[in-house]
Amino acid sequence: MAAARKDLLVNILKVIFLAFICLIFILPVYFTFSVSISSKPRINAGAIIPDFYAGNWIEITKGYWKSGIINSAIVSLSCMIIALVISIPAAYAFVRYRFMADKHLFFWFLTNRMAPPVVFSIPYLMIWRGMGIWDTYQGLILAYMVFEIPITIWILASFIASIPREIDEAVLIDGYGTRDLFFKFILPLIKPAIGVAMFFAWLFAWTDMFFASVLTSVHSKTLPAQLLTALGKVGWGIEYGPAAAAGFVTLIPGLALLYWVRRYIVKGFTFGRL
Amino acid sequence: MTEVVIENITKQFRGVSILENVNFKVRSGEVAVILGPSGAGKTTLLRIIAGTESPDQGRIYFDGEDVTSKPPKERDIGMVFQTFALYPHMTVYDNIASPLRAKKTSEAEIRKRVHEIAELLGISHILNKRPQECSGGEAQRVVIARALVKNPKICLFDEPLTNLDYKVREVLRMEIKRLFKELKITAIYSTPNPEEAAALGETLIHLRNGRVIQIGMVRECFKHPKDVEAAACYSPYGVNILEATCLKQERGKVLKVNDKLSIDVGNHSEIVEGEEYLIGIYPHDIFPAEAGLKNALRIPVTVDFLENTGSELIINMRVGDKLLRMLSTEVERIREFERLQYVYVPLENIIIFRKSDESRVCNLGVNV
Repeated sequence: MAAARKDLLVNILKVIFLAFICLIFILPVYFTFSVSISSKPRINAGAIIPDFYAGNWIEITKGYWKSGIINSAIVSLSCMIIALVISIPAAYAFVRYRFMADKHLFFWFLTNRMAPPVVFSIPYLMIWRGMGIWDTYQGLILAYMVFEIPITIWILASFIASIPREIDEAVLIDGYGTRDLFFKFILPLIKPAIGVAMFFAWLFAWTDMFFASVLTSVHSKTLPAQLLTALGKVGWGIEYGPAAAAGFVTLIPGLALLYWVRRYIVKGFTFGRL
Repeated sequence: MTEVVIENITKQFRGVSILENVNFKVRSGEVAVILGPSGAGKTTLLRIIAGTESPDQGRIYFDGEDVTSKPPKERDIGMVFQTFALYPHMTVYDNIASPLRAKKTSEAEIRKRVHEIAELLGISHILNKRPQECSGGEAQRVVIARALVKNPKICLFDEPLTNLDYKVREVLRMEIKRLFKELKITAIYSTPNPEEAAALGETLIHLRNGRVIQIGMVRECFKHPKDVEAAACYSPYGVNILEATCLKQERGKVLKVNDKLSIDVGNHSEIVEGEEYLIGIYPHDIFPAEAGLKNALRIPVTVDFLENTGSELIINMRVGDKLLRMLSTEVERIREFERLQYVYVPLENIIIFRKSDESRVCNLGVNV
């Protein structure tokens, strides 16, 4: 009897603990959403229950909010595609071919990723201005590539390395050329890693606020940078409501994409073993 | 059917020599076995023949044509891998069809050929499976089917049985033998296992540390090993080695092992007085009785212990302080064997090595 009561107590404590953890994660999301569908007086009153006001969401389909969303989509999707087009063949080459300084190059790529982005901001700002690519999509994408390609190469390379070299040999002996080997055999085999690499490449560009703030001003400013600008002007005519709606918009694709690549990610995150 | 000539093949990897001046020839329709311990360079040699690796020096000829600089797809070969190397994203059917698809064969023809080869290897029922769902034996059959489906000029087998359970190994060895007999292809088969080499091969190429140690008919090589290490490699239970010195006695020259055992070598001029020798005897060349043997040497022994594997008996004996292992299939005579005092070895199966460099001098009982 005492044991049963003890079990019950332990279970109750477990539930409370888990509920607390969930709350920590869910509360900001809920709060963002709640504010986004509340009217201004309601927000100012500090109410937690929204009054289902649609004005904020209508507001972000206009002006700089709208351009922010479009810019974010263009930049992040471009980054995802370009990063993969470059890093899949690069990763394959790093794993399968020996060339001059290959190991050093690979390590240098990784160390690039270790530097805090702010270190690069000063030269980038100066060079981008000089080259005339400041506040352009291509300028922003180029900056993101420096940080994305090392991580995508790393993800893909560790996965490709887990494919036995004999597979490549078998394909060549079967009578295929190197192009067929890459497109018909290697690509299908590394699908899970491509899923993970896609996710990271997209995620970095979509969530980055720092480079978007430094390297853009009007024309190509992405949503997170727009959000920062907006929050800096709270009280000067900018309100929490539209900002919360915009913030919530930044959450949606991540969740959707994660749901889509989830079955690959389980495999991909093990970084190896087919 | 194609004749393969390997000429002066040399390969280094990061300054370490993998193959050194390898030369041999495989006749058209012949099965050649490359026998050697792991790390001998067998796989590298097969890769070079397949064209997935290029030699630093040397040339490869298929039917007199120099293929050294040709890519694998122009060489028309099949290869069976130790690690299977099946394509995990394809079904067994598509795996086998792969070489035909590379040649742009029509789907109708592919279907016919895949079913034919699957029938031959007894894997028709697993064509829709994925390689991951196959057992080791099934997977290796699929690999063999994939290698043979395009009727290659040459088929390379890189330790195909090494990664299989022993039972599957026996069955598949038999099936590979049957394929060799039926298809009459030129095949090069690498293995570290002397039994496999003996069962499957005609010509033997013994490779050690990237060098060809010995080439010849399998039985001939086993009987006349180049040196002690080769002899040890040619028998699954190794080779027994007794030390002896050549002395002059009133009857003539003898090899003296100990006080109880001296071997008359009067008619062997290659064995020189005063020199030290090693006497090599394979465990399967030792018999418990003299009956049926001609010119056999009698060796006094004391039995240490017996190992009974069910189908074979390994009798561990002593000659002086040296171990002598005898292999027998007569498991039912175990009681009798426990009390053995003498064993017999046909003279021609006694191999004499020079002690200084361990190279073979001669076999006894044969006047060379």
